[in-house]
Amino acid sequence: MIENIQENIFIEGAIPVDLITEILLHQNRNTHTGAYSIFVGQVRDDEIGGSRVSAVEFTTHTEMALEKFHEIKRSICAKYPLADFLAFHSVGRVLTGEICFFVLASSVHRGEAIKACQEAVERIKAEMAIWGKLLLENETAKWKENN
Amino acid sequence: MDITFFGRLTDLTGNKDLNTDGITNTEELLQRLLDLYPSVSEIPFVIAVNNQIIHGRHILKKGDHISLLPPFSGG
Repeated sequence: MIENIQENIFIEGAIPVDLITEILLHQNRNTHTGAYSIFVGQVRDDEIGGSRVSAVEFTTHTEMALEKFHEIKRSICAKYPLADFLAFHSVGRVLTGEICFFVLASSVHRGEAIKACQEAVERIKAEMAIWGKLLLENETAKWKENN
Repeated sequence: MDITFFGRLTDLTGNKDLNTDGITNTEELLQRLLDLYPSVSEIPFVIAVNNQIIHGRHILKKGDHISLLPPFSGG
């Protein structure tokens, strides 16, 4: 039974590592949880046209994105017996090496946590109204394209 | 009628939004967009009316809020 009611997943700028630590420590309170699966997405310094990515600027249609997040969360929680499920995504500028995306799924056993986390990551990337603009070291920019 | 651009459409139009009149359906909307910003034809996008993605020809009413959404690239 998921207790957290996470309204908003967006954080301005990079997701702090301290927040992730805090979330993991919070999971300790549920001693019936045996596993948590987490995904941490970090901005990568891809080379594009001879210049490296220095940052990504994320924008979102907030209302549509959050509606979709709640739909994904409901669906994942109905499909897998999870103790907890949450996610965060950056908006605004995130530098290479900083964290821009985080998903946690916890459960009694590892199987459902791992599957739920993976499914959530893929669905959030595919279905949520979020866009990333890659800012390059040569001061040009290119819009990110997901696979 | 308010139209908000997202993602690469903001660069292609040079705007975050547009206010325009005299549009009654999505075909007219697309034609108006192409007239104003021919480069929007460079990328695919979907249309959301009042935060619901719609497909095909759709009637538009005064007061509808339109969002134009290129392919998502979050995560």
